[in-house]
Amino acid sequence: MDLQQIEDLIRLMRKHRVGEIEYENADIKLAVRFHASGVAPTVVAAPVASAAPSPAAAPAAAPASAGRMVKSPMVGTFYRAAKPGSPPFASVGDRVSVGQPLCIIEAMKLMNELESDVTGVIEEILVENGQPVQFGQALFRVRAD
Amino acid sequence: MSSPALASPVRPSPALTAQVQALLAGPVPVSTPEARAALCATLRPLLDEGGVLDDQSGGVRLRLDAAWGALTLALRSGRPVEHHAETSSTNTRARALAAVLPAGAPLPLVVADHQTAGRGRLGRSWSAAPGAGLLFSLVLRPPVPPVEAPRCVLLWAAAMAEVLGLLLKWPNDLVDVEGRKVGGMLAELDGLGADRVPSVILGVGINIEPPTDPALTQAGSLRGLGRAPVDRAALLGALVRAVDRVDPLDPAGLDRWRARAHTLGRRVRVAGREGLATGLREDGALLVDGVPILAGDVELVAGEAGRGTE
Repeated sequence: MDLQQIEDLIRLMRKHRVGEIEYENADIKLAVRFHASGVAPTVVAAPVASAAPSPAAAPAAAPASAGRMVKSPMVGTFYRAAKPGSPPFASVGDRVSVGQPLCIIEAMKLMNELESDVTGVIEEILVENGQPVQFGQALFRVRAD
Repeated sequence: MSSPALASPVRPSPALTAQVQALLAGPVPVSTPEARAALCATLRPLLDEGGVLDDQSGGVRLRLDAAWGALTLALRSGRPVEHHAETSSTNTRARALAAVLPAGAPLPLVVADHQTAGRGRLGRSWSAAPGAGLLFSLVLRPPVPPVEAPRCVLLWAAAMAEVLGLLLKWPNDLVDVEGRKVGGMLAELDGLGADRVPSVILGVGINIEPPTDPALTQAGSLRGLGRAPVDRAALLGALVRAVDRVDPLDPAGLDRWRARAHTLGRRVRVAGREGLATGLREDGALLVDGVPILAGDVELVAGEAGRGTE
């Protein structure tokens, strides 16, 4: 999928007033969402983990542990607490609900408090406090209810 | 302390705004004592905030240069205003307003004369004695995806530096030519990942008077530069209007930041790296020897007129 195709997709969504679309093939997973204000859409694209198609006997229902990944919406530095020394927003085993703050991503002194978009239990935190994170990088694995 | 359940921000009617503009611009004829009394009644809230109605040949004229309050600030800034004599943090208040602000609603300005728990980066405190600084937070909704929000903050910082005649220390500290910090800002993105319109909360603190806190003796102030405003509300209004005029989609926008950069061309230490600050990347990252830096405090390396400001 190239840039032109993504632009075409956004144009079609606007034309037909589609608010949100997700698309996935072997190479890419793409989500486009228009915000309620009708301003610019958010495009999130992530390469699909390049698990080579296993010959035969691909387990039908892979364990996958039903873990939903909460991903970083931007490049920056990952902080688990509001300030150094404060208790972290969330730890492994904690129950979190939609809208609950999970972490802060800082980029150029802009603090981004990332809220959970899923309700469930945190199974894994995939990034260390203070580490740089990439756009689309998985931060938390949450077992959704 | 401000009560948590506050009235909505003050917003003058278009009629009052037009009337005030006319009265600020020049003498407006008033035919009878009754008409003057009626005008005073209309303007009562502004006069209560320190506005003065002068009788001149040809009519009356309004002066707001000593006025300070929600209505004055709303007229000066063009935004709905919530004003606090004292609050814990203007950013906290602005976030609360943003969280319930519908799409398309006018974006509020929160102003405090005194902050008891002002926040800087990573929870550092930023406090000021009453009236010694300009302390305010803006709710902004730039029409860009969240990944481009950090760039917007640099654009807004550059617009304010132009109004104040100051320079910029990466990413958005307002400094004088010596590199002394006169103002700073803390931006927060609210609503990311949530099911509501994302907002940027831009908290700004500017020293009018030199800080009395002994830990901040390195800081600068508008007074110290001989530029303390006679009319604080007008200055705050000019800052807000400059921010609101910024076009986040202007591809050349960061040139305004570069034109006011104090950091560029100097040897710096940031994020564990030391080198020459060679440029500003289009997303707002600082290039140190060509390597993009996205977060961290910039320190000038000794010999570089290095007066730390943090």
